Parts: sequence; C-alpha cells; structure tokens
Amino acid sequence: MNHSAYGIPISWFLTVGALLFCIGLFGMMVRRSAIGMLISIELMLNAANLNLVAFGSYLRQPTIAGQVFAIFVITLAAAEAAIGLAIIINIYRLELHIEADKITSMKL
Amino acid sequence: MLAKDFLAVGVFIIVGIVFVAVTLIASYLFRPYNPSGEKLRTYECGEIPLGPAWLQFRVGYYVYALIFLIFDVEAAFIFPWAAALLGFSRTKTLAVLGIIDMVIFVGVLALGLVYAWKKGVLEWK
Amino acid sequence: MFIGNIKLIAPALYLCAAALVVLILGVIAARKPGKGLDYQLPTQYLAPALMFPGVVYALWAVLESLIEVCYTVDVLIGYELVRVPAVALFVTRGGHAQLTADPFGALFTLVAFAGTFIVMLVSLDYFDAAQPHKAEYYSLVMFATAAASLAACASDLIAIYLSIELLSLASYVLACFVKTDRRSGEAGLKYFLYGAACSAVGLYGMSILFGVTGGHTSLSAIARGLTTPAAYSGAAWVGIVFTLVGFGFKLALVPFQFWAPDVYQGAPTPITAFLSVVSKAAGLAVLVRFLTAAVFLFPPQNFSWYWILVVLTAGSMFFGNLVAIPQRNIKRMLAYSSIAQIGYLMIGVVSAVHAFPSLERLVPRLWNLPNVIVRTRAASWYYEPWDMVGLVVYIVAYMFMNLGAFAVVAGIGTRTRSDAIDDYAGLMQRSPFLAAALTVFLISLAGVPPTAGFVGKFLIFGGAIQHAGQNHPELAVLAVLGIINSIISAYYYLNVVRLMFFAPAEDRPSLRASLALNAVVAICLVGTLGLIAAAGPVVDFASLVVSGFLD
Repeated sequence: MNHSAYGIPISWFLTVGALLFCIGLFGMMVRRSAIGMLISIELMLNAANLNLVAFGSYLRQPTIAGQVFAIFVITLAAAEAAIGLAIIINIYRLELHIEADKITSMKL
Repeated sequence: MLAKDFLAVGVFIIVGIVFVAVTLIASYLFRPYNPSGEKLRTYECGEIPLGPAWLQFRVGYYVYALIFLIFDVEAAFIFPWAAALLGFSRTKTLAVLGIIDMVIFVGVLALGLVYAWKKGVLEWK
Repeated sequence: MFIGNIKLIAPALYLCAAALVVLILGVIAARKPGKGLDYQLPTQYLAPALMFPGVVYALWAVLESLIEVCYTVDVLIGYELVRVPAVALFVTRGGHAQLTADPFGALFTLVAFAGTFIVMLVSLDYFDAAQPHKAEYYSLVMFATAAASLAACASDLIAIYLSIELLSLASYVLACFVKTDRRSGEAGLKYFLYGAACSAVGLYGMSILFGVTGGHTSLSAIARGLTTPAAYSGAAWVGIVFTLVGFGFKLALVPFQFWAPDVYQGAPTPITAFLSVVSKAAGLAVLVRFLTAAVFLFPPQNFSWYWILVVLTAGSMFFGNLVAIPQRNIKRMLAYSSIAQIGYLMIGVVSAVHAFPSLERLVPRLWNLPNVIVRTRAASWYYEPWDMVGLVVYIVAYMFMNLGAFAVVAGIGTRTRSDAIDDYAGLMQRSPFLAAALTVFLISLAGVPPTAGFVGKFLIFGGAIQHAGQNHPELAVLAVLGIINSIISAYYYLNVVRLMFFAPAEDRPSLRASLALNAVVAICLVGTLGLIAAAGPVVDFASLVVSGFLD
C-alpha cells in the first residue's frame, strides 16, 4: 500500500480498525448487560468508520466518498444509540434489570 | 521517516510519565502524614456529599441529551454542506438546489423539534 | 451530480411526507382528548387513507418505470457526457447511480406499500381506540415502508445502508411498541441488539469492499473493481461475506435466524406481519441487487460465497420446517415457517444470479462503465424469462398469503386473548369465514395447487430446474429439497387445519370479526386465490418487470 504524507502506512489504520471490530464482536459475545452490548456495537461501527476514512484518503485516487459514508454512519450510530437506550430503559421498567440473556419470557 | 514523525510523541509521553512520577514520589517523601476526618472527605473544600454517587438520574436528563444529540449530529451535515455550497456558487441552479435541500433537511428537523415540544419534553417538570 | 427522473421514487417521498403529517397531526390532536382534531381525523383512519393513494401511486410507478427503462438520457456530469438509463437517479461522476428506479425496484415498492396498507387495516382491528401513541405507531410504519421502498431501488452502498438502517430503526421501536407487555419489550430488545450487531458487521464488510474496489460505493463501480486482481484477495471475500451477514439478518436466513422466533412471537401481531413481509421484501430486493449488480456481474474464480448461499438456502428450508413442527404457539410456528419460506425465495435468488453467465451477454448492460455506451431499446431485454420471474411472483404470493395468515391470527388473538395452536380447535364452528380463510392461506403457504403459493413455487422450482440443465446441478438439488420441504411443511400447516375443522370446540362463543378484519382477509383471499386465475398475465407481467431489471 502506498504511504501518504503522514508517513504512516494504511495497514496501521486497518489493523486498529480490525482490532476495534474484534473487540466489539468479542464484547458482543461475552457481555451480559444490554448497555455493554450497545457499547460493543458502537465499537464495531467505529471500526468500519476508521476503515472508510482510511481507505478514502489512502487509495491511489483519494475520494471524499469514504468521509461522506462515515458521516452518515456517525449519524446513524447516534440514532441507533438513542433508540437502543430507549428500548433498554423500557426493558428496565418491565424487568428491573438489563441482563440480556436472563430475559426469556418466551419458550416454545 | 516514521520514527522522526513520532519522535515528538515519544518524547512527550516519556516527559509526561517522568513528570508525574517525580512529583508524586517527591510529595510522598516530603509531605507530613497527619490524617483527620475533615481531610479525608471527598471534597476538601468543605462541600459535604449527600448520599452515594451511584444514584438514579431523572429520565428527563436522558431526553434532553437525546434532543441535543439530534441537533448536534445535524451540524455534521451542515458544515460539509456549507463548504460544498461555495463550490456550487458558479452554477446558479446547483446553488439553489443545494439551498432547497438544506431547507428541507432543517425543516424536517424543525418538525422533530415541534414534536418534542408538543410532547412536553422541553418542559422541566 | 444529475438527479434524474425523480418522480419514479415519488411514492417513497410522498410516504415520508404523509408520515410527517400523521406524526404532527397526531401530536397536535393529542392535546384535546375526545374532541377537536383527534375526533375528526383519528390517526387509525387517517393513516390508511393516506396510504391508499400511495399504493395507487406505487402501481403507477411500476408502469411508468416499465416505459422509462427503455429510454436513456445523456447527462453532463462535470465535463463528462454520460448516457444513463432514464430510471437511474442521483447519478454521480462516472455515471454511477445511487438509486435505480427500475421495474424491479418499483415492484418491490408496490409489494411494500400494499403490504403496509394491509398491515394498517390489521392494526385498525388489533389495537383498540384507546391505545396510546397511535400517531407514532402509524408514522413509524410509514417511515419504515418508505425506507423499504428506497432499499428496493438502492444501487449504492451508502443508499443501501441508510435505507436498510432506517427500516431497521423503525422496526426496533415497533417491535416493542406495547410498552406494558414484557414479551413485546423482550422482542424489541433482542431485535435491536442482534439487528444492530449484524448491521455493524455488514457495514464493516461494506467498508472493506469500498477499499478493495478502489474507493467506490456504487454497486456498478464495485462490480468493475471486483474484476481487478483485488477481487481475488481474501479481503474481498471477507468484505462480501460480512456484507451478506447484514442482509442475511434482515432475511432471517439460517445462521442469522435466532432472533426471528422471539421477535415474531413477542411483537404485536400486525408488526410481526410487517416484519415477515415488508421488511423481508426489502432485504430480498437489496440482496438480489447486490448479488447481481456487484458480486456476480463478473464472477471471479473464487466462487465460494455462491456455495455458502446454496448451503444457507437448503439450511433455511430444513431448519424452518423441522423446528416449526413441535411449536405450540401459532405466531412462533409462522415465524419458523417464514424462515423456511425465505429458503424457497432464496432458491429464486440463487438461480437469478445465473442470469449473467457470460461477459458477452453482459456488455450491453454495462451502461455505466465509461466508454461502453451501447444501450438500445433491445438491449434491455437480456434476461431469460425464467430467471427471476419465480422470485417476483412468489414475493407477491407470499405477501398475500402470509399477511392473510397473520391477519387471521391477529384477529383471533385479540378476541380469544391467546395465540396457542390448541385454542384453534373447533374454530370452524366459532368463525367459519376466518377458519376457511386461514385454511386457504395455510395450504397456500404449503404450496398446494389451487393457490398463489403453488404458482410461486412452481415458477421458482421450475426456473431452478431449467437452469440446472445449464451445468448447475446444485439448482436441481435445491429444487428437489424445496419439494421435499413443501411436503414436510404441509404436515404442520395441515395440523392447524385439522384442529380447526375436526377437533371439537369446547363450547365457546362465536367470534365476531370487525369490518376491517373481514376486508383484509377478503383482500388477501382474493390475492391468494386470484393469482392462479391470472397466472398467465401475471407471469407475462413479471417477465416484463424482470427484463427491465438494471444494476
């Protein structure tokens, strides 16, 4: 991959992105609290953002599309967090806890 | 090349760690040890804390934060739009189109604000 | 940027405006209980009244796009003159469209709109007049439908991601709409957590695709990017598979189906119907467009994701049908059944990707690759009629029969306060019309001859078998597995029918259906039974729609 003026190869950004994504995915699997899972999801979204912005400025023909995509993702992440928190507050009112794996009112 | 770019960062990190370590060790060596009830309080300035810090916040704060968030993220679109509009100023139709776009965008957000207002979210009960 | 013939997506824009009107009117009216605006314009009547012109508008858009797809326009973008089809909207540099309002997208829009209209009528019967937050409910449904419509036309990663997310965000809230019900809350939480995680994985895949293909978001540009050596790298593979995870979640394809039973059972029944039809139709349209426009346009040597899809298709059918058998709750049973139904539809998708077997046949379709501006009226007819007709017909049939089944379940659920299959015993005596209608919908879902489900399955399996002759034996295997699964599914569908007709009623009062419920069930009955009578014209129409499908 080519280097930009900053002298940092793109692979560094992609590695950080991949690490963030893996941390998010791992958190999604081991976290029990719904808030913890929400935070993990945000990590995964930001990993994708990092990828988009890094690719956008490091490609042979740099493009603004990566940043545009990232702005839309940031907006959606905000909306998603707002809706997610509202859903979690609702579940807290009903169940008095937010342990996602202990909420099993439906079976067969 | 890479090492030179990050040299400043590395020096900064090392200086930061050394500075904090030296200050803490020095104060540990030189300070007198004489605790009293007043001194061990959370706020030494005299404010007496009431109850634990892990208390339930009003849900009203949450709704305020939410509405702030919406109009905060809106700015993420308005700044690039403003920058791009400058480039459009040569073509009149594009400029007008851009302004109409933003009017629609802000209009929809304003409707959201009207909704929140009518729902009584902005009133602090 | 060139905007193009914006009236082709006008139904979606109309619906967004209508949703805002419903939301604001509802809030203003809520201040004056019992009289005033809320009394004169109750939301539950206003919303379907605004929806109906939308359905008509969407129908018009299908016909309009069928005409427009034959024409091209020359547009000047920057200093570049590009010739693009008249159905390409928001064309950017290089001639890449962000939305493509082709007949395929317009038809899925129509399915979403008609489905939502039916869902609204079901809601009218399901929620009583005192239900709070009606304005929010109906406006969210309308926003979700508009998003589904845009998703069906999206031909750019940003457009796909935004429309699918708007659809999802509205659906999360709708799933937990009954705030006092623990099951509804649980449904909302699970749908949200799994949905957001899967869409984040999908987005990560998109970001990799974006980079690997040289910084393009448009599907047509990605298709070109995938012809370069980058396409043979592992990164492209990861990008495509991750992106498919995001779509697979929306469809409840088999490894990503875990949310479906709980969400379908817990959500309010009209919303379950919405999720099972409108949301899935949008996911299906996006998947087909992504596969055919980007990934399979130039199939690289590394073809393994095709085999993943084949395995998932078979897995969905078997898992859905086998797990549906022991279910005691009819909503949960229909949830598993809809996982299986997606398997049948996926056979249509898997055969559809073979619509483009060779580069020579493709060339006229590459309207948005620079220097290849050879698109004539004749060039748009490059599909073999069987490729996707089955898919298109089956989604229409699926809309009628599945919505019909959920309408009856919603109606019976509100009246008996139970969704247990055992409580359907003797329904024939309690409500002959609903029992007979549910029988028709269930045998249609099973694919028994005189129904729409049979027509759809016949076309899908027929198309797959026809393609199997062209050196794709796996399609014949899938078709055979589909037929075996139809037989398995008949067992649990007919079990409900047996209970309704032959099990003794425990001396319960007869059920009175409301006008709205009767109307919905009648509409779905006409659709389910009428499709076979109209099979000839329908197939002709579908092949017309399919032949106008663009990337």
